[in-house]
Amino acid sequence: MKKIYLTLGLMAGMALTSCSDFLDKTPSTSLPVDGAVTTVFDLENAVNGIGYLMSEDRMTYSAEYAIYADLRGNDFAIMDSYGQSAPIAQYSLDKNHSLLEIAYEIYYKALANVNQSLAAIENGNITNASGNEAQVNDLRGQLLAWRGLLHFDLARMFCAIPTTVNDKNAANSGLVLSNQVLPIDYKGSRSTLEETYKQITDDLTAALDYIGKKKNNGYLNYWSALALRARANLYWGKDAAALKDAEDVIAGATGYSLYTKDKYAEVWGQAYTSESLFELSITLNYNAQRNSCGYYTDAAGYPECGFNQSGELFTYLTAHPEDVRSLLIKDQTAPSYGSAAGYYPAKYPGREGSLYVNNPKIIRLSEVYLIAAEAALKTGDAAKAAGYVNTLCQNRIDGYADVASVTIDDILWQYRVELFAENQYTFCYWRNKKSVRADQASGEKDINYDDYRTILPIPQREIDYNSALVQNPGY
Amino acid sequence: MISFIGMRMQEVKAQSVLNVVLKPESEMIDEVMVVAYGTAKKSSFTGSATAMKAGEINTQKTSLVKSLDGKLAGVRVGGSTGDPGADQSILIRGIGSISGSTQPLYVVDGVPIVNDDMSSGLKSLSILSSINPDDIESLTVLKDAAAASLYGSRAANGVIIITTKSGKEGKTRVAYDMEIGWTNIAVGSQWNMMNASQMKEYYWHALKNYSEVYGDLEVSNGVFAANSSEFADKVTPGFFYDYNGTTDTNWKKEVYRNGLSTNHQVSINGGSDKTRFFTSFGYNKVKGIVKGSEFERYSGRLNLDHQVNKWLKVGVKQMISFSTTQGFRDQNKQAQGFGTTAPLSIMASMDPTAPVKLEDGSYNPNAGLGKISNPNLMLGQATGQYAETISSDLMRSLTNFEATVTLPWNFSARTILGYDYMNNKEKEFWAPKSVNGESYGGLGAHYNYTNKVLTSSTTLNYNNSFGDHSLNALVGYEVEDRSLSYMYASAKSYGTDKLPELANGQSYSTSSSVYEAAIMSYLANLNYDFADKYYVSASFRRDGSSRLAADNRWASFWSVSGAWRISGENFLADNALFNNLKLRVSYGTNGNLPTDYFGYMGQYATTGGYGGNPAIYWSVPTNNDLSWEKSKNLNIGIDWNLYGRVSLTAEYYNKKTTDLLFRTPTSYVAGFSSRWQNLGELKNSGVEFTISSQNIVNRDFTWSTDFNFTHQNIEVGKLPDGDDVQYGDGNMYLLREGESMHTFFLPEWVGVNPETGLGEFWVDPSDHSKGVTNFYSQAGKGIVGKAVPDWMGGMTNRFTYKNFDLSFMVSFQTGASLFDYPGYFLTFSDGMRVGSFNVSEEVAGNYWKQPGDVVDFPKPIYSNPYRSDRFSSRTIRSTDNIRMRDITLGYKVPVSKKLVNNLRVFFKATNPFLIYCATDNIDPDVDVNGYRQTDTPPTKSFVFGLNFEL
Repeated sequence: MKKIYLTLGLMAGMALTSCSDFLDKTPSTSLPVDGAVTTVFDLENAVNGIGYLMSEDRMTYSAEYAIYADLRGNDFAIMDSYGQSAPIAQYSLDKNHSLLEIAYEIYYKALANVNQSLAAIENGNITNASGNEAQVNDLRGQLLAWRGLLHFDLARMFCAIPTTVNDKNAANSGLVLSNQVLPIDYKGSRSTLEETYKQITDDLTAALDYIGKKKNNGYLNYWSALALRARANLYWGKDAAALKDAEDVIAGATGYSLYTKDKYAEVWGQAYTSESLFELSITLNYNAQRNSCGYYTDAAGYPECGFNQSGELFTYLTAHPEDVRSLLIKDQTAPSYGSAAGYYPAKYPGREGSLYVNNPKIIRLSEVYLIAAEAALKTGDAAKAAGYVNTLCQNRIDGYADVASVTIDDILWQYRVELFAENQYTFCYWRNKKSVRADQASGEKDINYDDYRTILPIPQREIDYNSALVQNPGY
Repeated sequence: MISFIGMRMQEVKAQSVLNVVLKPESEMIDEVMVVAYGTAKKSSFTGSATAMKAGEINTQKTSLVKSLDGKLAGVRVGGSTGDPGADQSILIRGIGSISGSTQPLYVVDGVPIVNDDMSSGLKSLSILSSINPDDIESLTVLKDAAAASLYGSRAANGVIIITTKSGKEGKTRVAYDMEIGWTNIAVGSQWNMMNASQMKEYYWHALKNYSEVYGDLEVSNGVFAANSSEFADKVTPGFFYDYNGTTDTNWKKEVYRNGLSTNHQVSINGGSDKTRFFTSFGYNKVKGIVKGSEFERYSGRLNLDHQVNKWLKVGVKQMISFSTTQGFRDQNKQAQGFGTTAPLSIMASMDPTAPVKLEDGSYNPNAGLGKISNPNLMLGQATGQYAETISSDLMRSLTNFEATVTLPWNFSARTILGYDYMNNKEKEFWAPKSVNGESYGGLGAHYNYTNKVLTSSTTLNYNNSFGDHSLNALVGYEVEDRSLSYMYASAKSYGTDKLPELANGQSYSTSSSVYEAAIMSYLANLNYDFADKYYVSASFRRDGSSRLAADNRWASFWSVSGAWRISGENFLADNALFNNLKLRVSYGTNGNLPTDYFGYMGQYATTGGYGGNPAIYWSVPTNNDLSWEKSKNLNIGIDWNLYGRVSLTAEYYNKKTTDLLFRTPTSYVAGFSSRWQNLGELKNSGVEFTISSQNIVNRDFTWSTDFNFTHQNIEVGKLPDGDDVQYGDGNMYLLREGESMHTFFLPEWVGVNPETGLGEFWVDPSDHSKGVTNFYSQAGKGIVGKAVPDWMGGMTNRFTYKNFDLSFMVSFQTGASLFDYPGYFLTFSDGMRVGSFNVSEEVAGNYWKQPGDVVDFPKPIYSNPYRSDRFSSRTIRSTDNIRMRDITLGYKVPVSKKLVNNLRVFFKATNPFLIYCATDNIDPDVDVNGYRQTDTPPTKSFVFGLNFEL
């Protein structure tokens, strides 16, 4: 009998060692998606998540995209090529290039996060929303503004500028829109350019209903969303709307002011300066490292964005010391820099002792003045246009004498001088159906606004996945 | 009763002095093999399993995986980097998964062990090398469902069962084994770069062609050349250290050197009728062929078995090992990437016009292109101005407690408790002025991984024979609980390049996390045979895993198998031609789990930050339906022994894997680049032959041959919606129904146009009427090769003559190609790498210079706008080869048996030469995905050794 008990005991022992929750394990550095965004605090962190996603990768606002439009013209030159941003300057980004894949991936990833958070609000998942309406509304407005901004920059990279096309309603001329939580197996088709810009401005308009007006360092607010809508309207050819938005910002944005001449040279090393409507908060922990704009614009980094010494911009700046913008030439011609020796734009000097740490100014007041000027000119008010240019130049040039009227070329020249190395130059020339010269380009060096190379190809891997997706012409 | 694995059982009467002579198994047909949850007589085994021959398991001292190369039918060992301590993969019967693990399960002394997620991946690290091959008694590879499905969810890729040595009763034996030798690049003709004059000429042409293509004549700001030749004359010297000098440095010699390997092992074993022990101490050290790469392992083991009383037997096995690896970053996953400070990159970045040393005798610090200084100042420097090193310090303790209780009525119970503790400390240091460290002002990073796995299995066994019937049954229960903790800390802005510890820099980043996984299983097995002629087996296992959603985590796996020993029938009795003839058939299922711990769970990562605030973001899409990968295996085998001299095994297998764990691409628009799915189907089939023959057996002379070969086919069965899937760097691989796994899908290179000097690709490889293009981006893609061999195998011949022994092993494979990734940078660069790399010697004199030149390489163009250098059929190259794997020559020194049991000296060459290779200047040993990597190439070694036993 003893033997039977022993046998049975062993059997029982084997069976008892099992317990059901033994197999329930949970991750230690993430939360299940249901229940991740359920409080205002979570929502705040999820909005931070958009900033986080747009801080570290290549082609984000503090990486190549900070100087993207500048690389594509003749004002800047590759001093010594490390093959990093160089393909942008050389117009050699083909449909398989990793750089445009990264851009496509990260902007849409940020959009997916925006939509996820907006859905959490709209579905009433935020349990402590009542009692915190102002905060929830502000966050909701920020998310909507982000959605407008991200679509706008995707459109700038991958779609023609609406003012340059004959038919804004042409099929597949716009983006694949990401305006709601999309299924994981989504195979979207491209909208029209008209639909894309409508989405952009609609989101920015909706954002204005919710977003706070207070200055909110590192975050979008009412004024930055309005300024972004001004910019989008200008690209869309809605000049009257652009003018109104820009003037509303200029008139209404308290707490913001144009840089003054005496402060101009020093604001670039600082965060949240007086003109900055929206800048990303880049820190030592979260930055684009060697692909950050600071690293490209320094002889000790990847020296791929130095002044072209025979270019028009450098020629002007060196000949006009009375223009405070000439102070932004960083002299790194010492022989110790070797093949990288040259002059560099001084707009990204770095903070906290690191070239990587620069807050990119995604939109600032000077641009709003120029938007107002351009829109005023296009709506037939040259005197008003001259007024905005005069105001800007009075704050930039010693002994500046006001002008009575301006041409579009005068305004575009101010874009080049005021906003160099800030991702404006080639966009604004093409927007006005002009051509830019790019001596570093492979092939034809005069890049006209209708050159297929002004926009990037849709990444081939997207077309491999979804053969119904239409590639941009020329690729 | 005394029995040891691999030894015939002998009953001996109890007497005061036991003197048992156990006959080695090889003299008998009926071997005992270690199989799932026990041992089996080979004669009654119905599945497919192959045991390594004793003495061959430890031919490669650093890692046991290497020793399997070419020795076993159906087993393919991937190439590894030539750096000591690097990991390598192994495939048993093809490829069972597309995105999940393809690696077998390792079971050591009855306990499944894990080897993954234990290092940062910055440098390839073999966790298995923590196990000393000298301590291994037997190694069995389980290949089919009948053999492996008792391991259920993790057996789809086969199982490797390792049993460590145990004590043998009788006189205490002390053995000492040692090896010492040197290593070098196995295929020495690779990585030869252009000499100074060749490189100068190539650069000159690249710049002249650049000037023509871009219409650029500006030499420097505002200074223009008259024509493109003058442009090249003026610009080319700027790329070189001393354009007009006569220096011609061969930098390969400054990067690669002779390595050194040493191995020492002392073991003692013995015991009484109640207690037996085996203990060993091993030391292995390998200095790699690149300065600064090194592997060192200390390992100790104590295996103790004790018969407590008539019904209780206990055993304890304890291993502890410390391995340190030093070196530099590499491409751990053997794929895309070419670090600027990788040895090959340094070598290719060196300027042959620069001298190694300056006139004052110090190393020339500016001898490279770009930021590269001098290999002598960069490699092997743990500290100092250019130091960039990474080291790991791995400690592993494997504890194994086993108790067997003999119960009445032929029952017995066995319980095994295993505890696997591993700790790996990785340290990386970039000096403040080093290439990578400069932008941080120096960077130090420490990674600390601690892995604890507790495994417990209990089985109840029944074993009985009555008349011609014999029955063996088992039921069991097993749990495994794994916890892996990770900690990271780093510092930057170092005050000195001499002291790499973190305290010498400014605190930078810290992180920690814990990963947990558990498996719970029920298992059962039944074996029945009748009259030693008819055998039937069945097995069943039910597994639950924490890696799947709660509703989806349980699955069952099973197998049935049978065998018929035809030679046991009367009509073949006493027919020596059919000394043994057995037919085996098995069918069953296995599974494979996701490698991700929580791949099913939609997640928000809480690890981000924005400004100084926390940030969370959507990191994993939800997929609660994620499930096991399931494979169905059919195996048919014949074992035939002729005249007791030749044994032949032929097997056919057909393995169909469905519900593949598939990392499928998604549109970026949905927010993710890929997701896990259970989709598609893979078909692995093949034929394996193993022949062992005692060709000549004389008193003084013996000759035996082992020969194995495998024909395999790894075919993609079904894909989601039947659509092709492209993946990999530049979408270079294709998954298409009916095609092989690892099919290369790239533009097809036509050649160099003798008139224009430009490279040409077919616009559409399937329709040549569409003509050719010079632009890579306009070239269509086609299937240009595959990384999977059709035929592979190996042959070992062994000779003994009096006291001499000689053996050599030859391996071969056909039908596979490799992707020449280093060639993309160094050989097929077409001017793209001017200013950053030198060019392969084979390009010199073989590139286009003027109309009419019929050459293999197009005209080089600096900043080449055509991008003909990009991945195409040019970079796909055949790996068909026959290779001498090893040669061993030994001599047994005749000494008195009274004093010394055995004294043998030997010389062994590993990878000494290629007998044939379809492609020149490459090593055909690449990883299973066919990616020739940019890391240290495979090595050859020549060692002297000594075996000594008291």
